[in-house]
Amino acid sequence: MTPALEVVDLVKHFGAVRAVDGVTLTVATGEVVGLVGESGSGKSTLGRCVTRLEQLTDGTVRINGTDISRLGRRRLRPLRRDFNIVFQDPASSLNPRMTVAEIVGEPLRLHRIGSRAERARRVDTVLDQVGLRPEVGRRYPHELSGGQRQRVSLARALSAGPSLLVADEPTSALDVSVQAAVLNLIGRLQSELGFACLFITHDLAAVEFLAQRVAVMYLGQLVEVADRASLFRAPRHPYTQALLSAAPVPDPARQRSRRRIVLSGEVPSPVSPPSGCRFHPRCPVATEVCAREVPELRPVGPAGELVACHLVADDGTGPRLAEAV
Amino acid sequence: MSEPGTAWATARRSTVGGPLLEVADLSVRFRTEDGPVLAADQVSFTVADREVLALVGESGCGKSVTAMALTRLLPSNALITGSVRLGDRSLLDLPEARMRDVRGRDVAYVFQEPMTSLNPVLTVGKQLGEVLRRHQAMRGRTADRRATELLELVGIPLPSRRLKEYPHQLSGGMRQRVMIAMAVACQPRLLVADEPTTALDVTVQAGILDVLRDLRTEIGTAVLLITHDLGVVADLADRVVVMYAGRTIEEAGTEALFARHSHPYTRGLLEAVPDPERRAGGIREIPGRVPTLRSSPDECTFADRCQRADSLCRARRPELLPGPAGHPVRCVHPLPLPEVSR
Repeated sequence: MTPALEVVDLVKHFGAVRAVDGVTLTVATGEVVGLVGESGSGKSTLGRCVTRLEQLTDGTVRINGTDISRLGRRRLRPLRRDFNIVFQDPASSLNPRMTVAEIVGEPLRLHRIGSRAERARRVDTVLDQVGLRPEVGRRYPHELSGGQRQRVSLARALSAGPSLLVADEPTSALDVSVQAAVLNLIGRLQSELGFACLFITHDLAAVEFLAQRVAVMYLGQLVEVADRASLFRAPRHPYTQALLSAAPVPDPARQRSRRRIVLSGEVPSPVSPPSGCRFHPRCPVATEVCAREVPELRPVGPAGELVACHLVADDGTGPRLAEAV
Repeated sequence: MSEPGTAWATARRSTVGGPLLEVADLSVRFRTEDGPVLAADQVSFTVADREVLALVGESGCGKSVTAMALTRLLPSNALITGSVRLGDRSLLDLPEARMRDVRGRDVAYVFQEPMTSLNPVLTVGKQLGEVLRRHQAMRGRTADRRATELLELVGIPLPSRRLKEYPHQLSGGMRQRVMIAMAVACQPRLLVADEPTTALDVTVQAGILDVLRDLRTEIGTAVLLITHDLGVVADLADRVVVMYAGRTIEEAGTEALFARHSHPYTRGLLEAVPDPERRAGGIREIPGRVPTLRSSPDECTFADRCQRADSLCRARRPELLPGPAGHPVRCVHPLPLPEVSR
C-alpha cells in the first residue's frame, strides 16, 4: 500500500547550515510516527520541508504517492488539501483579525469545498470534534486560552480532511494539564478520523503515549527508527540511550535510582558537523572507526529496527550504556 | 579568597537556629487596568539550610510571583504583605539599599532564559568579575582565579578561555551554567532557581540538575526551585509546595507527595503526565481552567474543577491542615491514603 508520507534522502541547507542532511522516512496510512530530537536536530525543518513550507535542497517528498518535492506554488495548492501542519505556538499562527469560524473555514474556502452553508456546517462539526462549542466560532483568537487556541489550530488543520497531519511541538507551549487534554485530543481524532501523523516533539513521554513508531534525529540525520515499544524498552543507538536516560521521570524512587548517561559537550554546529558518525565526539563508547566512517541507517535484529551505529551488530546487539528505564 | 568555600560557608551558618528562610502569610496583589489581581494569597513555607524546596504549579498559580516577592523584585504596582525572614533579617522591612546587598550576596536568582539576564556586550569574565568586585571586593588576579574556579564548579570545560567569550558565543546550556556561576559567586545562602532548565534540551538539563545538586555539597547553598516539571521535582527536591490559584494547597516531602498526595489537584497534576501504561484510557485531564482572582474567595478555589467538590467546599475557605498522610493539605475532602497492600 502506498504510504501517506514518503521522504527519501531529504536535504535542506540554509546557506552553510546543514539543517537536514539526508533523511529517509515513511509514515504509513493512518500511522503515527514520532520524530524526536533536541533543538538543532533539524526535526522542525524536516516538518516544514515535508509540508513544503520550505524549498528542498535535495531529495524527494511523496504524499500518497504524489511527488510534491519540486512542484510550484500553483500546482501545489490543490494538493495541500491532503496535508497540513500545526505549530507549537497557536497564538502566532492564528490570524488575530479572523474569527475562529473564519480561521477553521479558511482551508475549505481556499479549496472551494462545498457551498457556503455546507462550509458553515462543516466548521461546526470540526469545532465539535476538537471539543469547542459552536459559539466559540464567533470569537477571536485573543479571547481564547492557550489550550483553546491549539484546538482551533487543530480544527483548521483538519477541516479539509487531510490524510496527513504534521504536528510540530503542538503541546510544548502549554501547561501540563492542558497538554494532557491536547494529547488526548490528537490521539482521539487520529483514531476516529484515521489520518497519518508525523508528530514532532522533544517530549519523550508524549511520543511514548501517542506514536506507533519513533524516529530519533541528531544533527540533521536519523540515528534510529523503531516501533515504540522496542525503542523505549531497548534503545539501540547510544544517543537514543542517552536521551532516554536524561529525561527525568516523575517518580522520585525510580528517578533517583536511575543511571543517567551524561554526555560530554553539547550538540556541535550543523555548519561543520563532525566526520564519520556525527555523534562520535560525544559518544561514550565511540571507537576509531566512528570518527572515520559514516554509519549507514540499516535494519538490525529480528524485527529489522533501523540503526545508524557501527557498534550495533546485525543481530541487534550492541553497547548498553545503562539500563534506560 | 584562599580558604576552601565549604569551611567558609559552614562558619557563616553556625549562628542559625531556625529555618534559613521563613515566609509567612505572603500575599501579592497587582494593581492593573482591569482592577486588582490577587497573585499570591497568604503563602507560608520555610526553607532549611541546604534544603531543596520546590514550588510547583501551572502558569498563573503564583509560584514565580512568590519567589520574586521574597526579594522584592516585583514592579511597583505590586502590593506585598506578610513577612519574609532570611536568617535574622526581615526582608520586607529592609531599606532598598540594604536589600541590594542581600540580593546577590545572601540570595541569588537564576532565571529561565539566561540570554536575557546576561549583558550581551560584556565578556563572561567581566560580568563575573563585576559580581566579585561589588559583593566581595575581589580584584585583579584573585578575581580571575575565583572566576575560573566558579566556571569549573558549574562544569564548564576550558574555563579560562570561556572567560574571554561573549554570551552569544555560548550555547544555551553553557549560558545557564554561567548564570549559575554568577549567582553562586558570593556563596549565597539561598539560590532561587526559577524554571532553570525549562528552556533547555533534556541532555543539557541533566547536566544543570547535577550542578544544582552539587551546589549543596560544594558550597552549602539551599535552593528554592520554581518549576512545573514533576520529573525535575522528582530528581532534585527534598520537599514540595504545590500551589494553585495563588494558594498553597499541599506541602510534603518529595517521596510522600508522589506516593501519598492528598489534594485532588495534586493528583490531577501527577496524572496529567502521559503514562504509556494507561495509554488505552488516555491521559486523565483536569477539566476547566485556573481562575484569575480579584480577591481571596471564601471557598476552595479548585472546587469548580474538582470531582469531589460539594457544598462544604464552597461554604468556607479550607485551611491548610495535616491530612490523611500526615502532611498539610488544603482540602475538606482529601484523598484517602492508598492501600499499602503491595
